[in-house]
Amino acid sequence: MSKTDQDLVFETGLDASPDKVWRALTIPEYLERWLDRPESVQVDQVAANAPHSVTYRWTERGSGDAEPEESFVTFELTPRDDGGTWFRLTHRPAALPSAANSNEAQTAMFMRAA
Amino acid sequence: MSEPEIFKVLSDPTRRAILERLAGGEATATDLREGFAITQPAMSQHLAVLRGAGLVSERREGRYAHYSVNAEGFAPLHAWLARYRAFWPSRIDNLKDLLREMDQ
Repeated sequence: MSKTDQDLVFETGLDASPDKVWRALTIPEYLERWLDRPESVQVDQVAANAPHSVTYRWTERGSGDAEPEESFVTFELTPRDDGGTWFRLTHRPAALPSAANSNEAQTAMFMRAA
Repeated sequence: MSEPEIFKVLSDPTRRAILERLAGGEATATDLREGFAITQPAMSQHLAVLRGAGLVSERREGRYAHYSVNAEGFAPLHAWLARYRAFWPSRIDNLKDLLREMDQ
């Protein structure tokens, strides 16, 4: 499992087929079981491309009058030669640029500097 | 400054570029405008937002104001990152357990 300072990215190999992992990530009963979702968090699916990637909006209620904090959690699945799955999880605040766009280096730079 | 507010402040590409520039060292508003196609009032506005958010500090010297990154202001962002850095590994372990229990 690896992660970098500037992005919340977790990667790992899973000993299950992409189809099976896909079910664990998208069937609500399975999702609830492993996610152990905090009560303050609401999770809504916003994009899905079976069985490759699925994105959830992750809305966390603030305490008191604080605005809810919105972020996005994306799971990407890649088949492996051994029949298993390479799993990649990216979690980023809604207001920050996507890791996929050209602002990544810039964001990374000031977050390191800070 | 709460986490949602700091994310909003950082969502602006010009403000992120200003912070990147300031990460290289203190600068005046005039220094900062070099390379940006924005007016002096627009730059002042961005600096005011960044100062308001506690991300940038101002130091007055004669008629010039010098701006620098205020590392402490980034604490909410770091807190958010730390929270979810701690959250996900245990969930991924749960997922692995679930996959073992699931039927093919």
